Amino acid sequence: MKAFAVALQVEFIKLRRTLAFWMMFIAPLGIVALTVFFDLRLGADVSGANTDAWSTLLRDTIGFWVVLMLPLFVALESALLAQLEHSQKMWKHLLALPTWRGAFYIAKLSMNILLVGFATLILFGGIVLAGWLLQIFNLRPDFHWGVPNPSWSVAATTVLFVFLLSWGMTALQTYVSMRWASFTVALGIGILGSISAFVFVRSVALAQFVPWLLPFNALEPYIKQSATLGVPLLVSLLCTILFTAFGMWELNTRDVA
Amino acid sequence: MLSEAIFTQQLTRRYRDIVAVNQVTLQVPQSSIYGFLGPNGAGKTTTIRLLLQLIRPDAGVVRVLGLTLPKQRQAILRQVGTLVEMPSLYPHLTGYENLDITRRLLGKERRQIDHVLGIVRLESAARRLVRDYSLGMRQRLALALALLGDPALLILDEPTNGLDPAGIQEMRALLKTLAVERGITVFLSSHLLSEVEQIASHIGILAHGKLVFQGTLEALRALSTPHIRVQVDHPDQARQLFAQRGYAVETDADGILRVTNGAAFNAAAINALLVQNQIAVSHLSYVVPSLEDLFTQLTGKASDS
Repeated sequence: MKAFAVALQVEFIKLRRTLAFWMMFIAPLGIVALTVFFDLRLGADVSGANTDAWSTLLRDTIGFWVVLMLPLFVALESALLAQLEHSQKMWKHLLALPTWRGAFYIAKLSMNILLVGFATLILFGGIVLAGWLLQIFNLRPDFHWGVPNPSWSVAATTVLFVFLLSWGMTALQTYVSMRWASFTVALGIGILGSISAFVFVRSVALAQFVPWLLPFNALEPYIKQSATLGVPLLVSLLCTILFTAFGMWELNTRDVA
Repeated sequence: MLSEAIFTQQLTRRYRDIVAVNQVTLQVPQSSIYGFLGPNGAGKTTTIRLLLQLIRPDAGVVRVLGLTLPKQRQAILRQVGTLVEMPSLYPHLTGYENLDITRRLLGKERRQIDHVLGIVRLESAARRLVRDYSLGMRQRLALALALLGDPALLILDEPTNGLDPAGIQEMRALLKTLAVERGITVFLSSHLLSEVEQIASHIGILAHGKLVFQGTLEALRALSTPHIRVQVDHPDQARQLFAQRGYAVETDADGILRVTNGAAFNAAAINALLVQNQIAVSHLSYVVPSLEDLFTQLTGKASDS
């Protein structure tokens, strides 16, 4: 446990001045900006005449985040973090230290999960800030800013589930990024996952089992069609356990060339 | 007290059909500076990786500081500082931050960072990003990383790679100080004998995965047998004459005779013998081979076998 705690502290130090750190802000805030742009341009056409502006902003931003950005974000972050070691041949230094090798793997996975978690919080904060700014500057007087329906707590629960359901693909991408030194392989698999997410966006059945599609289950259209989030949450957890076990085993038995 | 800091027995590692390390039995005495020599591709780095369990052997035993790999890996690595090939550093972090990462993983106190920065004389550059360091500074920082754990044994793979002559001299002096003043055993690999002979007390020479020599520097020098090089107009006649008089003689590829011993083993006696037998001598010299020649000879022999 102590080895893991130290390895995680070390991950935080390594994060300094990296693109991975800045991406944690750029990706969610970019999605918020994109949604605001679309909603401002299209307004009632997008949201429907009787929908309140908060609900529209929440639904559209979280939807864009899950479908357009999250799989790519996870792939990019895990590849960038793993490259810190691969590109400088750091493994020959780290694995010659008296630390349990598995601690390095779990710390890396935890950092990837934390980055997704922080990005999710920034996304939520970004939505609130964007709505507040839109109200202040009153750019679209036809927007109605009341209490969102569904409520703030439902919106917060949705992003929490998006986060929990992203663990499976984060574990998968972490495994790929740690296992293969090539940035292209890690990102390539992430792009394939993103494309599959986009192509199968309407498949409720597939969304319950494919790691890149699991976060879809937290979105409103999916919740309406499937009875429970239990199966996708279980699949996400199983993927996390499975890929973490693979990754730890691989690092423990790795020959460092 | 332990007699050997590193002991391996029949250490072997294969990569498909290639035997990279072939039944190597190393004996590195405590507090020695052991120069581990061999041409590029001889298997030095593979041996070092085996000593650190970065790769696993196909056969053989590894004991470091009296402890056995892989069973006591963590206890061994706690006492060993390493630099394998080029320095592994995070370029986007400062020198201090790089040291802080390794310090935390070793469970050492923060003041140990200042201590090692002092040893490698890098205090003033500690807060600069490593990407702005020169190669020499990176090499010194890598040595500081190796020293952070207060090691009893330093395993350094080509630590002077890429350094300029002044940097090489500085590194050499530093390693000597560490061995003499702190009693640290230094296991140092290099492909240049000239670089190692100035500081090493013991030498191991690896060629094509096999250990072809191991012993003190004096023992290596003792292997260096003098010979007399002779160039004559009738080499076959001269060979016959030398053989009759009990001299050992070999012919070089360029036709020059190498007389290695005999009853009167001196240039004057050999010259007189040839002239008396109407053989014209165009060149005659007494040669004491350098360690470099010996190194080439030893590693060349291994390649022939």
